[in-house]
Amino acid sequence: MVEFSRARRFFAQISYVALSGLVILISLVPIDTFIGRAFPLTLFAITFATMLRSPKIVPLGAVALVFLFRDILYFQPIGLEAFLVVAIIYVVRNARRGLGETLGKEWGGFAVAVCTLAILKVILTMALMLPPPSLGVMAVSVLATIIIYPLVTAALAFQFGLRKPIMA
Amino acid sequence: MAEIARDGFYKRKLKRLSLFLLCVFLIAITLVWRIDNTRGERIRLAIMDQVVPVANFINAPLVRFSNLMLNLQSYERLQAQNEELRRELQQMRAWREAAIQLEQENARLLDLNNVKLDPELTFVTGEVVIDATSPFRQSALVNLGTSDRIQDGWAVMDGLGLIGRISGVGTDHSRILMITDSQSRIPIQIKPSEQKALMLGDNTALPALEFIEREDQIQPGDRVFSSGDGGVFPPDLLVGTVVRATDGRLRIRPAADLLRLEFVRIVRHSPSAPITLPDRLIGPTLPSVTRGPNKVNDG
Repeated sequence: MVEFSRARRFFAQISYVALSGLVILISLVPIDTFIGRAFPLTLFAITFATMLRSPKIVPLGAVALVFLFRDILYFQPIGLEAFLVVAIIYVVRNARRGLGETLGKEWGGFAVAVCTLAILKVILTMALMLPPPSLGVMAVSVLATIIIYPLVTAALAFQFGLRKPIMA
Repeated sequence: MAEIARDGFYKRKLKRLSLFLLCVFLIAITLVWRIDNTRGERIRLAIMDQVVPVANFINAPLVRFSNLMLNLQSYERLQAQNEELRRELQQMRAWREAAIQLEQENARLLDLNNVKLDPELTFVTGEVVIDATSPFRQSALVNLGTSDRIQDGWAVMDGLGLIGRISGVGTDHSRILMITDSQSRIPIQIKPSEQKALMLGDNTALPALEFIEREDQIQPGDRVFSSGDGGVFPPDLLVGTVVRATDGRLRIRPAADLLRLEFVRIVRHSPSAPITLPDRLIGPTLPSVTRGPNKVNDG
């Protein structure tokens, strides 16, 4: 695990929030982009990968803030997805030692996490008596996010020098 | 050593407590939003009023670039396009001539019959600033709000067909709920069979057609218009054409290009006053009974 000085860690956290904000805003461009349409869970992939690499950069408060902002801008139930993501990231953070070993394991863990997120979201939406999302579209976006996950990890490694920690 | 261990213990406890509070806070937000939905949506729109200018600033280069690419693509086949347009123009001139003649004839006939028509609908044009199409919601944000006298429920069209309706108005922005959203239900009329039905959005590109009385009279290719029932929309706005989807159901292909929204028209529409007193409709208003004795007293 990379040890940061306090100032560097704070800078990294701010960068995470700023980058996430940028991803959200760009995905809202009213042109025919595929980012916002096919990969609404890209942000979850970024958060997940960063958390596995260096959990200090993504404190749960920041995650909650980012996904609350996303809920508001995406016209989703405010706070619902933020709660689910915080809960899932917390669970994964406690189990990250087993996930960090190989890319295959990490990828599998991510797939499970995304599916859990999607299923819980559908269940909670129904529990709140809201109209459920179309399952077909949801399945496509979940699959797309799982497929691009290695690209996200590669981008994190090359752009920000975040590599997988060697677990003791 | 023991002190450090105890320190860590308390730290962990504190962390767990703050996580718990965070979760409670998020759930509380969700519940408050669900219970007081209108206020929640108003707060959301107020936040968006602040965020949208920033988003536009950040996204400006991206939009520019994408338009540039689209333009480059069209330069490639400029020659072919030019010829095509010239041919089309020629045909259109002929049509225009015919339309003018028909319009004059129509006006003469209407005048002869003394027909009173509905006043023509007026519209405001706005620009789409945010496109929040997700698996859950099909909506967009347009840069017109209460400062432009936009009202909830007004129909939104592109140049050709219906896009959706206004659902939520902020000061400078309002939200368009598209016809493909799973919350959208719009009474429609299918021509030429004149059957009324309901268009149900289900988050797919083609909204479904429901509550049709006689399905055998409807064929793929029939045109669909808003029926004006329930006073939701003005009647006779073009919606799209009927298609049979791969799942065997009758669906509607919207005439509007919902994937590439740039400018939209918001149709001003105030439904005509409902008839509440049926006796007013038939015959003149009768003189009230109390008037007689009053007059006697006066004299």
